[in-house]
Amino acid sequence: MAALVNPVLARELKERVRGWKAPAIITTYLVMLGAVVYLVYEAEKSGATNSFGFSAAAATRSSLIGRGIFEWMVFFMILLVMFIVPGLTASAVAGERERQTLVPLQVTLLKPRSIILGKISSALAFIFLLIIAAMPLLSVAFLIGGITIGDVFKAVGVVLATAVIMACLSMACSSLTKRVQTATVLSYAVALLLIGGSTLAYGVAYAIDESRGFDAANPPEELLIGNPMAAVADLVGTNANRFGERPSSPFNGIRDWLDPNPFANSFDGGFNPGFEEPARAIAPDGRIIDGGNFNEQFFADEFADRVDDGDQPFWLKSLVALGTLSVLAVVISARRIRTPGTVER
Amino acid sequence: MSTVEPHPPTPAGQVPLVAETPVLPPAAAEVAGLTKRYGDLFAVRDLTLRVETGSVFGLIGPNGAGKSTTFSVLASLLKPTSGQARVLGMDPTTDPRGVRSRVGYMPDVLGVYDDLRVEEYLEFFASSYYLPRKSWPGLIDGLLELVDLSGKRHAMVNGLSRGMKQRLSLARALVHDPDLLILDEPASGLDPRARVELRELIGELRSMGKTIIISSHILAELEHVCTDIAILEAGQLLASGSPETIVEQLGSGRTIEVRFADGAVERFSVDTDDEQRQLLRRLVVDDARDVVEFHQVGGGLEDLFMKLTEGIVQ
Repeated sequence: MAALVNPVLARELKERVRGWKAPAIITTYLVMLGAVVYLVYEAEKSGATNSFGFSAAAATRSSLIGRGIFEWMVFFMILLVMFIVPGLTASAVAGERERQTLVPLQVTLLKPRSIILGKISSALAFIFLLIIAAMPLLSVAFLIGGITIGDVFKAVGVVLATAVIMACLSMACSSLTKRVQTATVLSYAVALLLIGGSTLAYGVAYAIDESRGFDAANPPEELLIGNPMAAVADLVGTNANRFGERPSSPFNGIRDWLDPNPFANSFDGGFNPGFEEPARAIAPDGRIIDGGNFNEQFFADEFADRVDDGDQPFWLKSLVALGTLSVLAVVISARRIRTPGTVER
Repeated sequence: MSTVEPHPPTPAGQVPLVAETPVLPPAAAEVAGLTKRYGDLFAVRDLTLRVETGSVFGLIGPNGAGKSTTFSVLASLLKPTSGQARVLGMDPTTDPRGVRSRVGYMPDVLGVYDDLRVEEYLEFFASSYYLPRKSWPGLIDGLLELVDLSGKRHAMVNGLSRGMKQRLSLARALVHDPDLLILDEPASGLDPRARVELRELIGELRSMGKTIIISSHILAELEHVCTDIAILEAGQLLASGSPETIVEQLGSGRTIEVRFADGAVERFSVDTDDEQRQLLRRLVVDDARDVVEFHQVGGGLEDLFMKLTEGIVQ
């Protein structure tokens, strides 16, 4: 038994659930997500009732609301994870240094890698608890429609993957610094750089390209490869349906960058009338519809996936890049606490 | 520098690091020509020491003398710039895990985890040494009894007094039943009672067959506890040997304070026990004075230390 559970993980979990921070974080997190669900629901509802003209059936309209809630929730879950994880892991090594508990740990038979992985696992276990706690809220979207159980798994997957990446990067920040405060600031800076920095870089490149005229190509998507939000937008976000409608989603902006013609599936062919690739769409009941005749799609096609351009999907490339970065971060962290060293660590 | 006491012959095949003493029994720890440099600063300079198995070895020196650096090298935390170290026959630089499995190290700072109970704290370290889980309860019982914390088994660690934390830290260093204990300033910050208890505990550990290396700048503590002592200053060895040998070899003058019945207090200087005896006889028998009190002022390691380090400490 002793060998099965990483001792550092066991200790950290014990300490974590005893402090006041854990319940406080869970409560704040759920209150914020609850607020998001309510606000998005209200906004989507009013948008649905106020719509005029050629509109979809009530069922697809409700799926639009459900999808909107779902995407906003995923967005906020990831945002909160990116905010919470550095708080959990930045103190991991720097905190041990500050409390002067690192040396007794270093002289045990625990390998540096075990110490680092134990600490990362402890942060992830807590994030997993947050995800589980948010399930009832996510089920609201599921009840309204527009998402499948597969979407829920995707969402849990991307939130966890973001947590793993952030935990590894924050751990490296923690191992490189002596003070928790410095480590925390550095971790948030990294998170900001990944999301904000890459978005800004892409935005600037986009603006420059735009100025070249109508035929301007989008900047290379590789600029966004380090941005977890872009990967999520690619995986979870949606294109417009046959009516040119799409849920009001925070991912729309980035998704449009990744996919230059998000309206390819819509009724009038969007901006690309010659587009003939059969659309994949998700019906309100969760069925995936590939191609099919127009009538079927007319009522059923909802939020088509991004059209595959034959290349590896962007989210996969991004995951590989961020995964590599995370492994590198773990290796650096373990090296930083390895003893004997040339200086005291 | 004084010479080390003569040692009994060693079994064949032992090759000690210290070149000038070729025939020695296996040492619990030894360093030869140990140097640790941080840029221009020498934390330890060309230090050669030998700690006999079963001894209580005291490393004395003011702050910054290089005691903790030496300990860090022995505890496999720090690589020396040059020179060699050997702990229980192993090189802490190349075989740190071997060293860690048989050495208990208590650093000079007391770091404890918040929100853990005494028992859990020890369990955590027992698991960190991969000790079988079923052995934990008995092990922890024994350790808590040894350090006199049995009553605090379920208390939170951060609520313990400094002395108790110090003892818990010692129990932590003993969790894997090490052969060699390295205790860095274990008496610092303790009240007099806790110091006495610590001294007794060290005696007990020695009787359990453990070799103990201990550092302090409180010299009186070590004088009574240690079988061997090394005095370190600015990273260099000033003297080493048994406390008596050092005092004798350096001929430290003792001051004897005598209080007479008429209230007069006089001080006399003597160098040896013989001179001290003669002084007492002269006062009481020859001069027939009414001596009420006759005691030594200083003259122990404290004085010796001051004498040795004079002029070096700025």
